[in-house]
Amino acid sequence: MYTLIKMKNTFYKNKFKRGVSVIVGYVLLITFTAVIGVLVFQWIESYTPKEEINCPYGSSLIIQNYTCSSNILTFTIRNDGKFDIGGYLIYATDSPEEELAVIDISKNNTENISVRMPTGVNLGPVGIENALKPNDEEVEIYNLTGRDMIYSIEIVPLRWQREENKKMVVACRDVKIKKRIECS
Amino acid sequence: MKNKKVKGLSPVIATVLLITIVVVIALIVFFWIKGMTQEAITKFGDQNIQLVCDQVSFEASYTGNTLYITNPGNVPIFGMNVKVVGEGSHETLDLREESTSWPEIGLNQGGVFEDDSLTFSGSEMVLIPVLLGESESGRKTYVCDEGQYGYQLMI
Repeated sequence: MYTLIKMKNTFYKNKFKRGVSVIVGYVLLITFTAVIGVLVFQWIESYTPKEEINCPYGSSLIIQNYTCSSNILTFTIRNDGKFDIGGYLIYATDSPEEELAVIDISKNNTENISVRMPTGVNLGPVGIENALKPNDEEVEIYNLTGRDMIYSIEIVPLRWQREENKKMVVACRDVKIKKRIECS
Repeated sequence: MKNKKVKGLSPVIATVLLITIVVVIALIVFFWIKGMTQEAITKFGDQNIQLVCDQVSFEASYTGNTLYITNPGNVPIFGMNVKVVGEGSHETLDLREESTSWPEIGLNQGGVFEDDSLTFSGSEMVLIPVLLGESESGRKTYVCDEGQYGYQLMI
């Protein structure tokens, strides 16, 4: 008898128990899942690392030899890498203790049409990108009249490359070359 | 007989209503939450600017009271913060405001900065690059993390 009364009470309790309709529950579940999914996608997408802008591995330039006479610095630059090179940035130091080359001497290149704006020097004929092929070499002449004595030069190769459908000049910062040179 | 007279929606209409309500509520909640989150600053298209800091490459030296900075890398450096550390204190200076030699458009690829008029009172300084990126509300600057990308120099 007691069991019957207990069952009757439980039946009435469950009959009048409140809850969210199943349909509404489905709507809310799908909605929140979709919204959170889209938000997380947008947030993560901007954090996806893209390939770093850099020259291909194997790009390289070397300074073969140099001479300095009456403020004229002449050196031969050679592409000893596997990829074409388009130009270079050139800096010099004016102190033997200075480790960082900060004097931009690109404007002192005697071949004015090779000088890039705002800085740097093009290699090869004008108008041709990445003109210095592997094993090619070119003689560079710099007139350092009016400058203090320089003790070293640093050269950073440049390449024209297509990055994200845009053509741009890329500095091969990993293959920077430094040469001790005394020239006044 | 009772069941024959019970009214209800056709299953097709119910499904259409269900999908419509879901989409509408999803859009409302999406735009509401989006307004609460911090907008992302991007550079070079859609790359988060925090990742671009990793590609910044610059060199600096401080000799004879002259500060030199060169940018042989591929990321233009819009500005530079200089954190000067002294005994028990530090201050951060913005080179764009402290120096008249800092280029207005920033230090582009191959650019060189040099200034002998700056005086720093401290034992060391940390150079922290500042980049310029795009956000939904226009161009914004972003200071790269000092710990990861700061360049330390002794004074």
